[in-house]
Amino acid sequence: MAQKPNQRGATRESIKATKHNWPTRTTFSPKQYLRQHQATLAESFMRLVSYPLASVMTVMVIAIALSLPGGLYVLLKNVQSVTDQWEQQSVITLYLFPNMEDTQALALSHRLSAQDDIASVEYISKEEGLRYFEQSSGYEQIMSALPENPLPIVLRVIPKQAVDITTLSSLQALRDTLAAEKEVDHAELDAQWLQRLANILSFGQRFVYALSVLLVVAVLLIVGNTIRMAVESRRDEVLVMKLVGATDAYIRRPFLYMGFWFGVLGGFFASLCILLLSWWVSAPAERLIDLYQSGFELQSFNADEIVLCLTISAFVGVSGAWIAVNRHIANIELQ
Amino acid sequence: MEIEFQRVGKKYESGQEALSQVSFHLRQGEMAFLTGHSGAGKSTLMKLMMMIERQTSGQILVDGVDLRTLSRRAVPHHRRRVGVVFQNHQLLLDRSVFHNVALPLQVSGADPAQIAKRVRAALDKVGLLDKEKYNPMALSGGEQQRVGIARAVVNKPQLLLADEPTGNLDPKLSAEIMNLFQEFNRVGVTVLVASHDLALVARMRHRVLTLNQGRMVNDGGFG
Repeated sequence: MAQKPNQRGATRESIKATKHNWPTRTTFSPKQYLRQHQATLAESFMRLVSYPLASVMTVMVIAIALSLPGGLYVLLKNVQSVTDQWEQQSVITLYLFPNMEDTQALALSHRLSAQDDIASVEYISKEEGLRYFEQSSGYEQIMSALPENPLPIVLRVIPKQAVDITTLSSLQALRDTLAAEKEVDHAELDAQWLQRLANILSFGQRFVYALSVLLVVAVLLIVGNTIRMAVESRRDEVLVMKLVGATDAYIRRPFLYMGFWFGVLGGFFASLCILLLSWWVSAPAERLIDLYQSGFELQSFNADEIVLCLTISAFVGVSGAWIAVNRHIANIELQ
Repeated sequence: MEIEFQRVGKKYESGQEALSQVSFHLRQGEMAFLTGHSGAGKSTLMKLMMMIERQTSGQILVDGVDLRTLSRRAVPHHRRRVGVVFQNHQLLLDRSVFHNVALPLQVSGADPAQIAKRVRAALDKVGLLDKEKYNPMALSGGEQQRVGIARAVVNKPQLLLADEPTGNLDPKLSAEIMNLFQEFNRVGVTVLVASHDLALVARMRHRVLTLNQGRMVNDGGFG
């Protein structure tokens, strides 16, 4: 009310003074606003504590729903960091046309080895190729039965870049330009395994994203339903508050804070779950990785990711509460 | 607060007509009774004043302002200027008498020291200062009703509405409650009390508005 009411109650004078003076908003005071919010924050937490079983169950459901995508995210992050570090000498094998003469092939070999992005070129003549083949395959009889050597001249091109996830695309481009040389029948980049891994990773990433969206929606519904029940159980209170002039925002506030607490606590326990899980699998995982490569350290949730997880879960909690409360409060009126 | 009804009608979606062509003028600082058999429209009339429901025809002017012009956001601020007492008192049983009475002040964002002072002043007026820590359930019917009145007046409303405030009380307690309303009226609060207790109403010697099947059939003195 615009006029501060006096202690004795409304007098004729005070009524006259406020006549036609319709306050549609009380004057805004930041201090009062903060104090109200602070009180509501504490009060809504106390309400959670006063129904420990129901609150713990809701929080744990949220935590489990969030720790699943969180855990997968950590797994993906580790696979990615392993493959990022996993360098290997790259080789592009060029199979020349069968009718290519040695001189032409040698000329190409010299030209390529002078290129900036190529470290060296190894020349494998038809005869050498045949010898390798016989040694490695054991098909000596078959080969000798053939009227002539069917193998082409092969150039093993070693690019300067080692192959890993980040250089894969530029190496593929190099392979394509080499394949376009007129002497070259077929060019092969020996990185199929890496290509497959990259595909699996991007599949995994999308899978985790989709799962995250689904589970975040699930959390939204869980919080929404819990808050809806909380509003229902406090129906009388909401009704009386409306009658004595509470704004919708005021009535909504404790429920939004409740959603906030559910979200934050759920996010906290989800982070805790992920940290424990990472710690639990770290020893066998590191032993496994050590078989292939040294210097690998298992990554868990870092501080930034915990903060992100808490932020998202708090936001989802408040949003879920908002949806539930808005739909519900409007329906509560004195009948 | 000054209230003017101009040919107000309220028809529910079910087709039931709760009020039709109701006109009256309640002047500032006036006290009046609203009588009529149950279902005559007394509660509906009160609800329109509280903006719990909206009329379907006619105008309601409060201090010259047409209630239809108020937005949804303005409704809570309107309600803060009106104190209401219900027959079934609508007290919250999960908190003490003190906190029940404090509710209107809390929702309007008063500061805690001010709240304590005014809650005690209101409880003092209804004679329940020593019961502030009690749960409303531990009080008698008359005491519960007085807590309801303390809650209605703690915000120093300019209009006090009471819907069958003595419905469940014996004659002696009823008279006490009515005297309380009269006291508030004496300091300038406009008071409208809905009651079907015609004997009690007649004794109070105030203006009486009578509703019958949604129509105002009598607007005059002393019932």
